[in-house]
Amino acid sequence: MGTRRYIVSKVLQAMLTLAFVMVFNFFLFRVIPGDPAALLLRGTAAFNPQNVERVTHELGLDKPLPQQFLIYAQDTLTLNFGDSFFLKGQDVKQVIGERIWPTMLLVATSTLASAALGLLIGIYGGWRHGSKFDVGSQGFTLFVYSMPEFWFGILVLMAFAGGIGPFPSLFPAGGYATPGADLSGLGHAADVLNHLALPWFVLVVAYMGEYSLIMRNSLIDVMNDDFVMTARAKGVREKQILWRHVVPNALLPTFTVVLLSLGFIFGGAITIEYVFSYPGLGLLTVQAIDSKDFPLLQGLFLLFSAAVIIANLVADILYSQLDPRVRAA
Amino acid sequence: MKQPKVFRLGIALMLAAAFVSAALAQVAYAQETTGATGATSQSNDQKVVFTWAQTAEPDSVNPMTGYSAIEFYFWTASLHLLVDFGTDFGSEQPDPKFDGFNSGLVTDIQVSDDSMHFTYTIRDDLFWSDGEPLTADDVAYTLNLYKNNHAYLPSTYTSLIDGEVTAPDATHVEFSTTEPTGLYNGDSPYIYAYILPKHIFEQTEQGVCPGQPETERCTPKAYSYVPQVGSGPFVMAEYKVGEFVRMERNPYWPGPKPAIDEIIYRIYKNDDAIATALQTGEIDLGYVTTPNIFNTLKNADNVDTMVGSIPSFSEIAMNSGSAYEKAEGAFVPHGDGHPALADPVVRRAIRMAIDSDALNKQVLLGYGVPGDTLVPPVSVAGARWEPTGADKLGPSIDGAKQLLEDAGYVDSDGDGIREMPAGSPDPGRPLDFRYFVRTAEQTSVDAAPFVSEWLQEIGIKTEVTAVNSAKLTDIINAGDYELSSWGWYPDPDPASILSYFTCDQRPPDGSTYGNNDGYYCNPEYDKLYQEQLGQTDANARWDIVHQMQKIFYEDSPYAIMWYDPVFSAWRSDRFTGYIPQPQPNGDPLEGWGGISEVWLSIHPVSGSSGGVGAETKGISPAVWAILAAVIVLLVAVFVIRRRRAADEDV
Amino acid sequence: MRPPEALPTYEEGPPTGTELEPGPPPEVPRDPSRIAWTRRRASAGRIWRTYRKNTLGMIGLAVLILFALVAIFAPLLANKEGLKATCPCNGIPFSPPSLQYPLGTDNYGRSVLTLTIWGSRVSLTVGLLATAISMVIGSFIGIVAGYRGGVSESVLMRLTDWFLVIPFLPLAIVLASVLSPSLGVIIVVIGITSWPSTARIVRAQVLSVKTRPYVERSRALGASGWHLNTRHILPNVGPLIFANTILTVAVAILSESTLAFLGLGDPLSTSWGTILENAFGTGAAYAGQWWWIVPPGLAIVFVVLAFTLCGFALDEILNPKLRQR
Repeated sequence: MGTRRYIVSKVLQAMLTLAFVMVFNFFLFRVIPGDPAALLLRGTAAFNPQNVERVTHELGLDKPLPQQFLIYAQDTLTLNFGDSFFLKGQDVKQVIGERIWPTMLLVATSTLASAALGLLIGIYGGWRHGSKFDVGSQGFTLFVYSMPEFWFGILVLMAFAGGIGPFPSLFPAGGYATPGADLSGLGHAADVLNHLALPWFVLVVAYMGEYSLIMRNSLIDVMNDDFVMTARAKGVREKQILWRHVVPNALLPTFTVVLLSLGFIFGGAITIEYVFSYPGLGLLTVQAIDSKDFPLLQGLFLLFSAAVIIANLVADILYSQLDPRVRAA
Repeated sequence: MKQPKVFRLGIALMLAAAFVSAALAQVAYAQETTGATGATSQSNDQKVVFTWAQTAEPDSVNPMTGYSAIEFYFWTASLHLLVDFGTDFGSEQPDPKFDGFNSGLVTDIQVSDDSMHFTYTIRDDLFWSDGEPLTADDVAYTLNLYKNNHAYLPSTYTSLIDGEVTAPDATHVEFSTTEPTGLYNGDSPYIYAYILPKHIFEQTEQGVCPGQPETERCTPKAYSYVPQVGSGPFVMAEYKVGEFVRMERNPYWPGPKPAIDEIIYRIYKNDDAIATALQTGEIDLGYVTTPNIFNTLKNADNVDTMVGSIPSFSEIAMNSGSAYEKAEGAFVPHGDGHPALADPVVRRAIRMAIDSDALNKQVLLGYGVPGDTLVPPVSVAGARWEPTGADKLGPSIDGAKQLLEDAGYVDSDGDGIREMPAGSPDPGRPLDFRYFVRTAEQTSVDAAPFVSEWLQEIGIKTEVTAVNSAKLTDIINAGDYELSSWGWYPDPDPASILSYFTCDQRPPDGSTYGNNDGYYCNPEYDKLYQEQLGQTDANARWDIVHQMQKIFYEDSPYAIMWYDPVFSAWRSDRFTGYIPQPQPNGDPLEGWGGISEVWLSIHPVSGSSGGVGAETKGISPAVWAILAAVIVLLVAVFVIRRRRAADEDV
Repeated sequence: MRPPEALPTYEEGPPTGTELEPGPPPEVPRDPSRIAWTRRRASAGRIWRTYRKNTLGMIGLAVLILFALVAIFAPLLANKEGLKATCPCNGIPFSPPSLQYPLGTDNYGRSVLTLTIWGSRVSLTVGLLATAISMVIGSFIGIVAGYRGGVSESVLMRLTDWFLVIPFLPLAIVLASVLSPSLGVIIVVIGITSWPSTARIVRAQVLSVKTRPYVERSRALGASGWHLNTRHILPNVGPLIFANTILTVAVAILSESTLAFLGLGDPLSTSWGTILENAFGTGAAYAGQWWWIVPPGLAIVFVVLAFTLCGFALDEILNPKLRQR
């Protein structure tokens, strides 16, 4: 009973948050100074007050603000985000839909790998804390945690795509797949993987530090708990203590963090997609902001926020299933 | 234990769900837009494909609404103009090399004595890509469509037409103008409006978009126009937003057969990617915008490069008096610009202090052309006036200083900044100007320290602020600035760029737009503008146009810094037959005009099969497969060992 | 961009000082109102003595001091004119490191070393000021929410959660691109997008401190909210806020460099992020001009690392649960 109420209340909270985001979304972009219509046309032969007026009208920007909001609210609830300003005739849903898969592929796989690697390093480092491995891995993860991921991305791009000094020019410099190459099945998959390799590598290295640090701390905490001493006294083997008792308990706090960062999937890869010209949502965001493309920006923003909200919700619910203390609360 | 399983299950489910929905969304939308799932094949051995790239994304490939330079490259392969642009930007004549199929639709123009009635004869040997013949009906329909629907760019050129354009028979169109004009007499290719198929766009007026799904809300402007019905040698077959535009041959093209079967335009996100793509052979030709990268390309193997000039310039605009000019028509004085700039002497001094040559060397690494007058070097032959000798304003710091001294702007308090003279609207006020640069244009930011320093030397203080374009538009409309940096992309025919600086083009109140961001208002200039519109004799017209440029140059509401370069690079071992516009150094793909001959002239370099497409880079599929197998094996071992350890619990 | 909340939250407050390094017994002053300050000073002394034993923390501190010195003494270390594109002191553009230009030159021939040295000023200032804003807002909200409880707490915490949900980088990008790109704007943008995590941590702290015996006794004696907050709660939450601040600065510096790299920084100022933006934008990556890209990035890494190490060290000292490492 308590669980169901808990879940329902969490879901309601999530929906409320989503509603807040919707309102915030609308006003955020309307507060922008300058007129997207004028901006679209400035500097071209088409820039004159009549055209600006016409474009403003065509974009629906000349209606009073409350009316615009009502239209926006109605549309959003029916998942109609309208047409992109800059890419005329392109439905926002369509534009986003086309770019979602590359980002999904990149960030989900890199998050999984960096979480797995980070957690493993954290576990081994924490279990043998003070050892050479621990010191070394801590140093490495701290270094990696402190570096701007786009900077690392540029270095990797220079080294492995451009080929500089001793590094071979091994991978393509960007994009999702080789244009004009009609490859199917395995060939196409390999081509995509080749383009994915470098951005994926950068994200994995850049983000595993965090998971490693948290896991290590959490593991050390649990390591010192009484039940571990008890288990040792009972003669349970070290490896078993680690994997059957310590790790599952240590995973709980890190679990939340991992799930939360999954929610930041879409926003997180923005700079990497930019550096590697990877045609995903991150790059789309940068372009949309450059061209003040309200509908596209609103759609993207809503998507990013919704992802985080849903991840939070799932994290809360799963966490409550795993941690009996929360359920009782 | 229950917990780890739930944990793993939870994560796995969420990821799986997300993956699947993303993949489905991707597939759904991909198929909706294009009906195909990818670019064309190279494995079809006979097809010759030409692939080129830029970082520009088309905003719309429908001539009703598109205005970015990039989409013109698609139209120059698929649609006709009435009077075409040659490589010298003059009216193009039929060239026997191309059996006369390189020029525009018009074969003859009859002008009435009062220069207000025009009859165009339309050629009768062209076909649309669906087999329909191109007739005068299409011409009349298109011009009316543009005019009545206020198409963004084309309606500029039809603005003088009075009433409807008619087609009395299949090869003639007739129209009248609201005033006598020389612009439609064919001396220069003025009507920069592509002719569309009537039988297609008629349907869009009824709400039907041919080639689009039924659910599309359809109007002529909303029509995405892909797959395209066009009259040129190629038509757009596929457009994947953010990725590529693919053009196929028009099966009904009666002219010389092109040597290529397909054109693919690829959109890259930055210059680095284009440069790398050229080297790996992913593309056959690319445009870059960064001199640094261009320099590196010059040294690459198998890559030829060209730097050309294009009709595009960057300027420093000066607020010549938004607050001080008198109210007339819709214009009311507004803003808080410095009164000193209302004095042409001050503006002239600023022009003299700015060394365009040095700017070109430092900021553009010498690749541009130093700027002076409003009409760029790349324009219709005869239109440009170049200041020489005594007419030239600088560069001269001393000359500028002298001008200011003589006009009474002296530095009386020794702080290095001149003040307004006695008897001026605000005596004693120091010459301290706000100078806005745009974040969107790196060169505008890069030029600022130079301009600032030169102005400092002649006794003018500047305060440089970087703003984004939207903000700057607001500032300019409000008249709250002294100096700002922006650029224009004039048409080859000077009429449009000259039109932007008449008194009625000024932003009229604090919040509405106007082209005339320098707030320049000179009745003599306005008078001459009207005169040249009505001139039927080309030489007489150019005389007036030269006069206008001279007046504008001397009054200096703009200090034009440079004319922008265009950087192109192509694989020398793939294709040849590029035709630079203008000759000898310009745009190798002839981006201006109607049917570009370049598409009829490009052919594979002998010995190559052309259009090989990319050598795909990276690890081969076999190695990937092995790698994947190894990883799966490792994970399996890991999991099994854990489980076995768990099973052996005490 | 990593989520701002990177560490587990505390469940207990800072120790009462008994587990720290013992120091000389404090002199008890005659004036009772100075007793509190003397105690605090002694406590700070103990914290410092413990900190001194933490090698990593000391390394971090040393690096920070080094960078602070570089930033402060920038005019002595590098010619300010060298930042201008028009400086006659500039060399040939795009040249690799040489004796005269130890880190090479950029697209204007400016010495990359000069740029990096002067860049420290902007990067560090932006990081510190943005953190200050974030801390002030976050602490205020956290304290009010924790102390007041009830409706105010719910409302404030809802607000915090809402802000936490909006992904940081897209929000920062939108705000920065909408407003004019000046340093002030960047500082404000980073500040107002990173307060939520502080607020959460502070509130949790306040909740636990609130129930401490001495606070309850104080309240029973009739102490006002202001007195409680300034005399009891704030000093106990203070060290925690300070440790959190150090870590937030690290994130703020990374945020500034990211925003600048995406072109949203102030193009007229030189920060490590704008150097990288200029380098990448003019094609340094393709041209292999590594000397332009490595130094500013390394500077960021070292500064952020230093702040992180200091922050972790302080954390260990102030949170008893962490101390056994």
